[in-house]
Amino acid sequence: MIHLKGGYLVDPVNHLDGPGDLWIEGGRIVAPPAGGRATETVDCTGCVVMAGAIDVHSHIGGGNVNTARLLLPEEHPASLRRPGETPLSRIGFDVDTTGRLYAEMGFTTVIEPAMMPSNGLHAHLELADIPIIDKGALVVLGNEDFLLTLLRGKESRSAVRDYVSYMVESTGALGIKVINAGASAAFKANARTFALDDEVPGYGVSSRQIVLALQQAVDELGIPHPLHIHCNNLGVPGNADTALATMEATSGRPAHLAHIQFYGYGKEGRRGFSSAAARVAEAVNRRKDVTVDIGQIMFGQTVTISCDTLRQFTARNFSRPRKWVITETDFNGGGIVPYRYSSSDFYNVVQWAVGLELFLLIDDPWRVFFTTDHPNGAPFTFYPEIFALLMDRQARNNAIAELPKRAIAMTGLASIAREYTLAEIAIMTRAAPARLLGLADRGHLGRGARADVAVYRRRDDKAEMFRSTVVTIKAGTVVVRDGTVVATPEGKALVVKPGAGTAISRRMERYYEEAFGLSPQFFHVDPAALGRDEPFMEVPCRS
Amino acid sequence: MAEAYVNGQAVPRGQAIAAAARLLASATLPVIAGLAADAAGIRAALQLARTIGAVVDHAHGPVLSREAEVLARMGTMATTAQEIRRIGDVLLLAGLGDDAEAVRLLDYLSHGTPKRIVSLGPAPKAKVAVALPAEGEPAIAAGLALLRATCGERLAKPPADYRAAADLLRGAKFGAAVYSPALLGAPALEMVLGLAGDLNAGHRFSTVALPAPANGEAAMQICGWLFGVPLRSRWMDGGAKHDPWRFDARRLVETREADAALWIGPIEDPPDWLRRVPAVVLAGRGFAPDKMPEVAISVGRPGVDHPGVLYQLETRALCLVPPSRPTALPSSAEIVAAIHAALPASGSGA
Repeated sequence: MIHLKGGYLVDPVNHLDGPGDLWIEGGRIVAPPAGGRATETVDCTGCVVMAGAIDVHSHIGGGNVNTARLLLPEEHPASLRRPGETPLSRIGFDVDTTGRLYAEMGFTTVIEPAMMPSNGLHAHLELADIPIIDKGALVVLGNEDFLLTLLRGKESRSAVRDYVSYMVESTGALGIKVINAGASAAFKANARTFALDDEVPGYGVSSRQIVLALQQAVDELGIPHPLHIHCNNLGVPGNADTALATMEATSGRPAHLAHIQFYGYGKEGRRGFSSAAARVAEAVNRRKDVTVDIGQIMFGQTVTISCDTLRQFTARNFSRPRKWVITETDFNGGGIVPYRYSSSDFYNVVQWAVGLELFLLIDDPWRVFFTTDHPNGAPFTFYPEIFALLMDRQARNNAIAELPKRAIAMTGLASIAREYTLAEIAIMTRAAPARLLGLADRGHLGRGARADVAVYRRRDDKAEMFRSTVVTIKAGTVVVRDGTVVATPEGKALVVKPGAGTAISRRMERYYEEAFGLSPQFFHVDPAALGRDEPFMEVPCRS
Repeated sequence: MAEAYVNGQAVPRGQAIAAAARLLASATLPVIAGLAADAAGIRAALQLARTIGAVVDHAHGPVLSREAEVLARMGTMATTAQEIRRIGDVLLLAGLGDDAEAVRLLDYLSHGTPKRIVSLGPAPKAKVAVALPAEGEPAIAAGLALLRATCGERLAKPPADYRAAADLLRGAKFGAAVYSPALLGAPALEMVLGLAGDLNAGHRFSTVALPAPANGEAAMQICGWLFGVPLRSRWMDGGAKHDPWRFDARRLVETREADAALWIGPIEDPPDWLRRVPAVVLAGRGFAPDKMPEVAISVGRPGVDHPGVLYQLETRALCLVPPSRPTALPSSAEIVAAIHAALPASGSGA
């Protein structure tokens, strides 16, 4: 039994925001034992105790992430003069470091948001090799011939539902993501732009129809996580209209809009690029069925990794260093484009401010999630600096003062006074992600909860506070002590099983044989292939 | 082959595992080569390499390494055979060669959408719209450069057959250059990828590469996620080091910089050069060399004796392949893990 003694507990789910002790046994948080003795007591005096953090959108594994590693060996720590580091060298080029760095920051569950079905086994093998943290993967649908053909044929809702269910179960997914719905298919037909009401050539199906069909299927299947939407027109000036139109289109059912920062742009000013964060935030505040994550950018070298092949093909012109990868499959494919966000670049500074504005202008911490869309906006190792920018207005003003005034002037950031409280941070990074993903067993410190716990030394410098924990506990095991990993247990992959029927299974067999001369078994993820004892943990669907 | 040998004598498997562990642990610079195994075998091998500070390279290291270098220099534009079978209408066979895998790939691609073919250099027998003759790698590279210049309208008077080929490529709805990296040097690889990239300025075009044999692409991918760098790497000083020349297994063995080798090879037997250092060989049933290495252990072939995760030509992805005739032979992963577990406690080199 572990006793966390004398800490300051912050758990909005259980209304804890004050001094208290925590007891852990058998991987769970338990009631204080009557006269019981701990095998280990952790002195938490001067510390804040929270549930382990949950990252809802971080590209940590799968074919595209791995291609980025192989594209950029010069960013690997091994290639650097010592001592020396680059932003990318700190992110853990290998999966072992990925797990360690997350655990050191007190994160215990991370969602890989873009698992292509054809790479499902690859993604799960990679995720299985990431130690400590639990993982979940969202399977990417919405650009493949099978689904587009179903929609063209105006097939029933149940046909789409059966297909979605089949794909989720076959690939071991926790939910569904749609990425620029229809655009990768349209790009194959030589389209270079694609908007919500554009139709995929050859199918006569619009992006809107694809999004709505998938959203409905996810909702009706009772998959806890709402459809995770990467909208059209990512990065395009004036695309706040796209975000708003997508919210409008999907209203009435839950929808999660990913990395909304990349859709927070207006067309004002001499350069035709400005912040539209206030408009987007106002819409999010009004529409209670919408959740968003931010995708904050930070300055420095990174690499953008996306299944939005159409967008990444355009972005290749901005690659730094000058190299890029575009791969295409029956599903989306992938685009890997190295990029350097510069604090002297007008556009990048506006992007930075837009992300922070959105964090600060969206009122409800239950509906806005803390992400950098790792590594697209910035490596996840920048999280401590971002916590500081949100929790400390002075730190924010100091950062603003270093940036070009003409860029900041195109945003409303300088006038925002809000500072996130510890309780709001706990909601945004623990309680709300658990609820969003349907993980009732975590994100809080209540009795019976999974003992995923992070203990931070309280400090005025919030970046310093959140950079590493005094102790991180994963499923009851102390994995980090004083900022250093001391144990590397295996984490699980979280999956849902909405119940796929046999009829769709036969139909998929027929389709794959006809279209590709293959069996759909090729993307089936058999847990036995992962080389781990019980690699999956099932998350119940809503009944 | 019996279940295991030490110094040419058939022994129980456990004895060979212990001998293998001793040999590898006592080496100053061990090499783990071959990696001609399923994903589980490769993962286990790389974990062992981390513990003993071994260099890792693949049986087809030269071609994998060349591709990795080109990728790191310029990136790539690529698609799958599966998708080209469905939507591709023009193929440029650019140094594809005509071995069994090239024939299988072209046969697979020829279904689905009808295709017109431009061929440059050796290719499987097929109905070809334009044939651009080229003998040998330098000629193929030069032909690709000429074709790229013709497609880009950079020549005042391109040869007529190149003009015809360029017209066909630029008229594609979705075309693909199909090539074998084993037959192309780095300049030709860059040229074929550059040509595909250029053609996308106004059209759609991509590439389909023949995967390296013996699950080489899987080995490269797994090294990517476990080491963070391509193959021809070594885990040392608490991190991975990558150097395609320094960590070339063949060079290390031939110069005897390496002093022990572990060849993991149920899919491909070890080459003769491996004999220059004391070696542990995990081999398939058919392994019958003139002289047995210091240690040899019989293992199953993935997809034949036991299920295994193998990289697929059609999908360019990892896939679990069921056994075609299951046997009780142990997998490479099991034996490597057993060697790992049998290492003397003081034997960790890195």
